[in-house]
Amino acid sequence: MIASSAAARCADWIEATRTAGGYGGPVAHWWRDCLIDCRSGHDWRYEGIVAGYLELHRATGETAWLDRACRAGDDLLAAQAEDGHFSRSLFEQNPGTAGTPHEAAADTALLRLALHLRHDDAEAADRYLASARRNLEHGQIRRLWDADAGSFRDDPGRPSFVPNKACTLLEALFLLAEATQDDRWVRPYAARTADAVLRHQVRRPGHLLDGAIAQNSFGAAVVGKYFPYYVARCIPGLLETARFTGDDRYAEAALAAGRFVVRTREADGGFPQVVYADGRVNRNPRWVAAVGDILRVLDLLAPLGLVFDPGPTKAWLAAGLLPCGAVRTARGFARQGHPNGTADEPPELRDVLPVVGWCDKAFRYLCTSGRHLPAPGPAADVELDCTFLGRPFVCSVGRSGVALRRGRHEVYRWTPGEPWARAEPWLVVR
Amino acid sequence: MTAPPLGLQVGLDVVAPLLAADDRAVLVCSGEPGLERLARPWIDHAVGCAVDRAALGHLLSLYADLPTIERAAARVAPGGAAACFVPGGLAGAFDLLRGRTRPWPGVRPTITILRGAGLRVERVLGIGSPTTAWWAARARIALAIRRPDLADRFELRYRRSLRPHRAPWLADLALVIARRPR
Repeated sequence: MIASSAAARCADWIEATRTAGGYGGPVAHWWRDCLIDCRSGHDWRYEGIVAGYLELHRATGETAWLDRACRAGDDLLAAQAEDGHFSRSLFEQNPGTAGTPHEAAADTALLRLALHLRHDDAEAADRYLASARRNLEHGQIRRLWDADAGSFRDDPGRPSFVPNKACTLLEALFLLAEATQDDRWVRPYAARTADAVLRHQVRRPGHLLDGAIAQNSFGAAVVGKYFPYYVARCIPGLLETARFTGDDRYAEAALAAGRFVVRTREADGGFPQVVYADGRVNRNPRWVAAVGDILRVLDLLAPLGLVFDPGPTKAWLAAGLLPCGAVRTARGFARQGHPNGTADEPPELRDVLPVVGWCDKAFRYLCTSGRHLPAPGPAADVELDCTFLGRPFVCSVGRSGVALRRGRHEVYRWTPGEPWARAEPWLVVR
Repeated sequence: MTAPPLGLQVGLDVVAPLLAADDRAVLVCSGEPGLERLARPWIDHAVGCAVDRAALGHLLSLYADLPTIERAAARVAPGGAAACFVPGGLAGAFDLLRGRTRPWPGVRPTITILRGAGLRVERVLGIGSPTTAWWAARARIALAIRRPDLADRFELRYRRSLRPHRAPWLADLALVIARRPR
């Protein structure tokens, strides 16, 4: 069952991206791209990879999955510096360090490992726990906690708050409290941080944005951008806070956020990139692999009464499975920042570029609720017409990597395992 | 500042694979305080200018002055690369917009120095063009008139305007890549 599933195929692809120090490869994102530096990154990619492998271990009892999870945890241990930070932890802004929410997300991986192993291998569990604790204590709490504002900053140098990042940090702190059986890791922070998230939430019954959570703020100035994907990522932290405090306001806020996300869903199951305060939309690119996160967190809201048919979004995700096992990143990058237009055919390079730090979100979902999904045919490379920077190319995507060429002239190639992609200089963008 | 300016990041993406070749040491020289530290994450085998070795694999110069480039280029090993970031032809105009001036050398003197040190210039690139300032200004204006949707769109165009091109005289930042023959 597992062996022939999309989850197992995806796991094989994820392993194929291993390079010195961990999982590597290019990154495409809304804000920046990191298409050349393909060295291992120690960011939120570990969140879904480890959670997925642990889920497969629970489901099958096969130690091979646990071994992979432990190897991923060991990557993070090796990547941790004296100050607690992980090297190359900025994802699309790599090779920088101290990435938010990336290090907190990596901490959730370490802590899930610690909790999973605490009875069978206490020594290993302690190692992962100590590493996560060091990062959370020194790299997050001491550096980012703003006692006056009662929330975690995004930038230690100025008052700043990003709700989805704070909620990822809360998830990590709740796991740390569970692993240490010590609620001092959450008691001073959880309710105050969740309150800050609630202050960023729109509450206007009947309005399109009701339940939406603003992307960020600088001091008192809230930035009126609402990304459905990032609103969804606020939900687990809010639910954990509701459970811990017994305060229903946080659960109600999570439910409202979920309803906003569902409301923005389009007929084909995809979600727009961003909705602005005035109702304008920049629709593209629409994430494909990342909807694994949305499906997963909306499942959490079912007991609270969220009515949601996951069918169209599951189909949207399934249509993005590539034969090599990876999941395409998005649809519509060619029209990035535009209010409409599908522009799915031909795709842009970054649409079909598989990115470990997006695939892990699909992988985690495929390992749980999506476990029945079959692998998409033989694991062959695919070749398709695509565009990049407004020009037409032929792109091949598969286990051998990603190549972009015009005629016989290859202008970009990323080979899994290689630390750097090769590219013509005029294709180097950020 | 926790990362180099975006244009410099683009340039570092261009040269980092060259400087990673053969796992040899890379001598990093900077004419701007703090820039060397910000660029280090791109370079796996970086060593500072203070390191005294007869020969190193490669050279990365971040706006270093000409005498420094000359001294460092002499230490590039056979087959090693030298990547020198210098102000492009539009740097003076861009600096006016930024409210500062810089005395650093331009492309031509840098090429002369590198050739004099026995290196062969392979490529000269420009990063940032007249449109860079245009898109940055439009993004700011869009924010000022409360159109974050347009600001996001213009910000993307700004990022794209930083892709390397072959006209360093029409660039904010120039990159000279040279190599010592084996």
